[in-house]
Amino acid sequence: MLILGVETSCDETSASVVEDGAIVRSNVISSQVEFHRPYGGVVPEVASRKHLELINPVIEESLAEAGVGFEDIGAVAVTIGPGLIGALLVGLAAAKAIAYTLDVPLIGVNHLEAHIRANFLEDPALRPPLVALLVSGGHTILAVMDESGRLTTLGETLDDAAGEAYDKIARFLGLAYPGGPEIDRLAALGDAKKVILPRAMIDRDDYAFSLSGLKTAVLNYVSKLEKQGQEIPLNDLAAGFQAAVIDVQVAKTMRAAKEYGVKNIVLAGGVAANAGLRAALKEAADEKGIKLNAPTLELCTDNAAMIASLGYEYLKEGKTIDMTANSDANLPLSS
Amino acid sequence: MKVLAFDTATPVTSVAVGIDGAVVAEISITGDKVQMERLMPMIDAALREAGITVRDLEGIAVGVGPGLFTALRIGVTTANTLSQVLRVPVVGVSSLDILAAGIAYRGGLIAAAIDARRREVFAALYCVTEGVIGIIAPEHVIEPGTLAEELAAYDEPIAMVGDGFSAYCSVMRDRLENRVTLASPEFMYPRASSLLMLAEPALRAAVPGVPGLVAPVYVRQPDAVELIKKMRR
Ligand SMILES: [Zn+2]
Repeated sequence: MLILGVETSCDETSASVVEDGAIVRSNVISSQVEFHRPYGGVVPEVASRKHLELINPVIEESLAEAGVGFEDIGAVAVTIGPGLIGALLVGLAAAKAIAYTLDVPLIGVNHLEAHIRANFLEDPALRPPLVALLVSGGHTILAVMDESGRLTTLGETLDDAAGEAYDKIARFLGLAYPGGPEIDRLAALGDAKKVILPRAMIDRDDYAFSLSGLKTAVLNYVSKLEKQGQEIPLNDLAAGFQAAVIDVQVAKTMRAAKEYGVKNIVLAGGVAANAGLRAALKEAADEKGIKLNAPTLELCTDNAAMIASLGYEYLKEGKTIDMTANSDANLPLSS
Repeated sequence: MKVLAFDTATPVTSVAVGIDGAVVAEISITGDKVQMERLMPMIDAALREAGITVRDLEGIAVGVGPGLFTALRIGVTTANTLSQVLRVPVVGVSSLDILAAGIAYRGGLIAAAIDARRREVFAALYCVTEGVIGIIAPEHVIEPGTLAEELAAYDEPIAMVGDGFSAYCSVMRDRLENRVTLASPEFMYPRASSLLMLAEPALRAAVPGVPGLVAPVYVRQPDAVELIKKMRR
């Protein structure tokens, strides 16, 4: 069965055709990053306007690339949350119109769960139980998936999400937007040992994260150097910042893997593209004989293939929505 | 020609189905932030009442605002997507034009205004001569007091229509006194039946089988864009 996936939760407009939840026939992603660059972050109203302009051409392209027409689509899967409400509504409106006209099932997909799903899409041999670290512009969540595939959130950030912290620091340091890839790039050139920043909550025995203290530490560090008339060692600072973020994420992920006795860890979300994070988590997992899965870059970022793929699973369980459905900006990963 | 028309630019969502120039079904529902939950079920109900299915449609008409940004996008995205899947033309009509059309039978000067929140309205001014509506002032965003001044420049009676006027009626009356009359409540929101009538000629003229892409009329820039402009000044 061919499922058309639609994703508009943040600043990527995406549509995809996936066969039987497993074969990606097309995955068209139109990034709005250029339009948000002047603001140093995603502007919800700008994002919503762009989604409206792009959604129909992107859907058209996804069908053309898959070599199919609307009449071949067996169901429509759409992100219903979490995300920016105005952005989500554009995708849901389009998905409803398609499902209604074609008279096929409409499936409302949890965006966070779909990020984790991306790992199964790329590695069909992957089986739960596993621990998932989901890091993105809006989220930092550690979760465990039991044998039956049920997800339970172990902990999340108490303040800033990982991607958000990267963007804020990048903006403060006058780096290019988006901040994640830029800091990741500079960090590879710097020495993390030269700028030691606090590892927030690393010793706490729960799975909560906090990044606002680290942000303050960077601000204080920079203003201290500025007062002394010293130059800011950007590369070392980026490396120090990145190490502080990653150390906590790796430590908590490994602790969760141990506590739940899993042999698989999966990375998910836009920040999973971070080379430093991937390398550090891989090293720690290898040491314990645990297999790490991390999606390719195309499936790390927000994309509709992961939505269509998870939508297929929902459909098998009979989990569909009707024409009265609404988007949920604050939909949790698990309840 | 079988046409589906709807407007979601205001707190009233209105849907109508027209067949060969006649309105055969119309549904309007009042409610803030209900457009996502109500629009498709209303479309479904209107089509059923009209005795046709979505597959029979030959054209889509949609109100393009100005109005509530989020609600507007739900309507316009729905219209564009129906057009895309059905491969039929779509036509966008200003929601202020739709308002004015609702009371065009009165003739003379008609001012239409939609509440833009933040003590502003989206407004436009029309003149009806021998049944034909002409635009005197196209849509713009304006403070009610300034709009009253603008309208005072005309030495004729003016009919006011739209929730932008029901919200600021006293501001208008203070300045314009009995030269203005407020349309009765049933005309205060864009009605899909009026939209149908306005859109029919354009839909008939459109190339059949070719989908379209309609853009909302926001009038206002996003706040962040305004902020950056100010910072650069
Ligand atoms: Zn995401």
